[in-house]
Amino acid sequence: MPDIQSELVQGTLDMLILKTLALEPMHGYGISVRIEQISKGVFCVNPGSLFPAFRRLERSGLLKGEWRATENNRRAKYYSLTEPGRKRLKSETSEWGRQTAAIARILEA
Amino acid sequence: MTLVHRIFGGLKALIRKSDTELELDEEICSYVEASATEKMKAGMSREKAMREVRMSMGSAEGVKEDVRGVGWEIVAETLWQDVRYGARMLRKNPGFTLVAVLTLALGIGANSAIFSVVNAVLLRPLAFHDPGKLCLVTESLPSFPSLGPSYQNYVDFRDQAKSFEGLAAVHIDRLNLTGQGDPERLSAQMATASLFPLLGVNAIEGHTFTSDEDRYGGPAVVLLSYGFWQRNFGGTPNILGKTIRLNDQPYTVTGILPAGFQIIVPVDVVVPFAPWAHGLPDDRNWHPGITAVGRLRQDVTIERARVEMAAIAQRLAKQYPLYDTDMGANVNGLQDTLVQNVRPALLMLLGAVGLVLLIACGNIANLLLARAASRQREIAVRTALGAGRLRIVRQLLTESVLLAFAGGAVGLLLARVILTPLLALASKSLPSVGVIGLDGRVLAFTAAIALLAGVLFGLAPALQTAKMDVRPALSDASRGSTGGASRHRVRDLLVVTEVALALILLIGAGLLIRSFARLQDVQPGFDASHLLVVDVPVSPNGYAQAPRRMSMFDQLIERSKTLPGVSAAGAALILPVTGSGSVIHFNIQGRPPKTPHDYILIGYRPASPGYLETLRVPLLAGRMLNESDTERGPYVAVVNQSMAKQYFPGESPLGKRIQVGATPTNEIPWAEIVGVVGDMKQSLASEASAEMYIPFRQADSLIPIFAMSMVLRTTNEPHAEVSALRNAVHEIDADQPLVNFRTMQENIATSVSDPRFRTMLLGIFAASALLLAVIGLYGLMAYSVEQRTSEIGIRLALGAQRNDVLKLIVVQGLKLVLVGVAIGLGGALALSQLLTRFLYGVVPSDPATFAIVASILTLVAMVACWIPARRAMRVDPIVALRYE
Repeated sequence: MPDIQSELVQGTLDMLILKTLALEPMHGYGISVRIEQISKGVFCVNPGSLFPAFRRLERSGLLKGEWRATENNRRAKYYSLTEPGRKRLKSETSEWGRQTAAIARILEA
Repeated sequence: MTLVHRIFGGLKALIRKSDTELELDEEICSYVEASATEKMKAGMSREKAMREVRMSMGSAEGVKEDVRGVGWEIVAETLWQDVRYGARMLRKNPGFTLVAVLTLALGIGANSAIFSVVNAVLLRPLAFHDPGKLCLVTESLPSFPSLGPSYQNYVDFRDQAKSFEGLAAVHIDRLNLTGQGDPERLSAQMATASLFPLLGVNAIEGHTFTSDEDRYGGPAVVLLSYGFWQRNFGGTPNILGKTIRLNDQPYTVTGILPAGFQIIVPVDVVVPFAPWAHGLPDDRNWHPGITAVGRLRQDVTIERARVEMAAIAQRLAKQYPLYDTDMGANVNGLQDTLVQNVRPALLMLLGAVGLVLLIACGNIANLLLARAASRQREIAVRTALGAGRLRIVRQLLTESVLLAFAGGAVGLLLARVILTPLLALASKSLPSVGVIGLDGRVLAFTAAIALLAGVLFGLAPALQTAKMDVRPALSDASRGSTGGASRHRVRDLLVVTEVALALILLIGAGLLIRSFARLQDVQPGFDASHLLVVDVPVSPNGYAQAPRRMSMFDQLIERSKTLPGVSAAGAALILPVTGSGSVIHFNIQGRPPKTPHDYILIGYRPASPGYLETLRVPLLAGRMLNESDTERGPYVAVVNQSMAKQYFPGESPLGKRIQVGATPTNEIPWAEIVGVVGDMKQSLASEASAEMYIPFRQADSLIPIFAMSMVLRTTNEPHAEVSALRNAVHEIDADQPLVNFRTMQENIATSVSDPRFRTMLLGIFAASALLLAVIGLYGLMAYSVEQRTSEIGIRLALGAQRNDVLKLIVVQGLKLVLVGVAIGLGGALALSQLLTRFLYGVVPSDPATFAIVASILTLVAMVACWIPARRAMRVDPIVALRYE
């Protein structure tokens, strides 16, 4: 684990979860590991923010949860994207792109 | 879509709570499991892996709490939890709860009671269609800023004004009802046919006036009020078409008005306006008491109507210079006009009762602060288990609001109970506005102030409690310490505020009481003891002829003089100290007015011979009125001292000649001033004004007299003569009603019912405020002594004298009291200005009142400090030190 772990920008965790789930349904631990791996350890998501985010996204109808057996033959709740979830991911991604490009332009100016 | 999701998700979580919880539990477990398995794969022992996972995750409960916090249901959920927990805490401390609820019930109940009056009188719209558009139109003259228009001007207003959908007229009068048991004097109104559609009022049986009925020479018809119909005819509809005798004339009943209907005042019967108006003199300057009611057109504001009416008045003033010179017109909202006299007093009382509640809140806040010390452990445990500060504050606030609602509920019951005596006390001071009671608006108000009070008294203690340090409270060694200096400061501040507020109320009450005492001390100018008074209105039809009428009054007076127990009797058109009066213009021989409308007005008091003697008014010069002063004899007048001084300064008015009710004219006989008597007051609160007493037989030729008030001086209790007088009068005319038997002293008491009402209520509020503030102070001192027991023990052990201890505690309390008194004096000085309009003979900054009230408060407060101080003095040092 690197010494410096970045705090996630407010609201981006939801987007990362949606992105992670775009490929395949995953359970909570899997999601946290995936985010950590892909960010090369920059973002370490702890359960204290992960689970409330699941509940939030589920309530908003962007995710749905389903109990399934894991590869280790245990039960876990697998989350997958709903149709509105996919749409939200698309719109958030393009919005994010727009914003970061703009910020980058300002910082380089 | 997402909103629906949220609502249903929340509802599901609420309803199937255990399922949701189990699922969350399992999910977190599986996370831990997966996480640990991963670590074990890297070669960690299971035990170590689990430990690491828990360390990195923090408390599983904390995570769950965070997840629960996502949905809206958590708010409802915790609120419900808090309410249940709060209720449990309150039940566990019945003593505290009882004291707090009762204190709050007093404060909130008094507020609800006063508010229900304010609501009914000031806020509730009148029971008419679109009442906001209803206005009263009055005339203004240089000497009278507002009076009902003359008939002729009313007609012109009505025909010319375009701002109104219509302008209707009402005249308030009395009519004698005969032919059904005892003759009765009914309150009546003459109303135009246009009035009812204008107000949007329909008859519940029959119909309101048609234009054919509202004309001179039309059929004599009458509408009955609902109350009169129920009372006299048992509410049977077959009264329609029957006749009743009013002023010795048959009237056909054509309609019943709805219950609660009233315009200006409630009446028994309503008859058409036009026949009455026909009897008025053709004089634009004659103001017979017409109320002109208008309904503004939808698109017209009251300001525009004012501009238009002012223009019309100006036009009329030009057109009729003899009558209408300098005339203006006022347009005012109907409801505003009805309540304008009582509004300031009601708002003052509402403010005062609000301060009482504030003091009550101070007391409860102090109780809560004291209790906070004993709840430290409980709160500390909750904090240690992961409750956030906000969560604790919310919990404590919920508890206070719960307490306040309990107080509000009991307060409502209390309001119900005190409303009856309150209304009895206020009956003469309030305009009649229909039912005053606890309606939905009062309930809402009560709930609102309960909520406000709960937050108000709960906030400071809640913040204090939540702020404290967890560790010392949890450690066993700590014995619930006093909570530091800041809590003391808050408690001191509360008591200082309470003392200041109580002083403000007390000074207000003191000023009103002093003013009322001054009013009571006013000499009315006559001997008011042992006087029986009754109004005798004769029927204008039965006694239409002056000789018959005059001899009726003569007979009544002569007959009552002969009653055993009556030493003197007389009668007058207008009695002293009634607040009302009648003025007339006159001129003095040799001093003609410069222009025709430059006449002087003076109090006009037609009276019988013997009237002034019955009242024992002192004769200062000349003679009183006597039996020879009739319409045949030479015209005479007796003037009062004020008139003599005002119009005949430095000379004797005796022998001077005046013309009453006239600018100089040859048709009216000159009257010689034959006597000067002392002043009688028309109102206790104002100076006596110039008045003249005219023999009623001579006055009758000027303005016919159809009603006089008889005054009997009795040797015993005046009311004992009532039945003898009634019998004597009915021997003369069995159909003659006698109205409103009362003593002169009761008459005077009625004239000061407004100040009595205000004074009593403010006095009661101020006394409650004093009581509450003193209880608050006592509570603080007692608590402080308890907290300082060990300190006092050490002081005593080290050789302090018991008196020193007493002084220590009393001085501590006294300091607070004096600060409160100083602030209160400042506040009272500023706020007492608001009372100026209620004060008579006392200035709002009356130093005596301020000094006396402040001393009384300080003295009472010292007693409240002294009792706990005595307890401190008796502390046994050994016991106190062991206690530690």
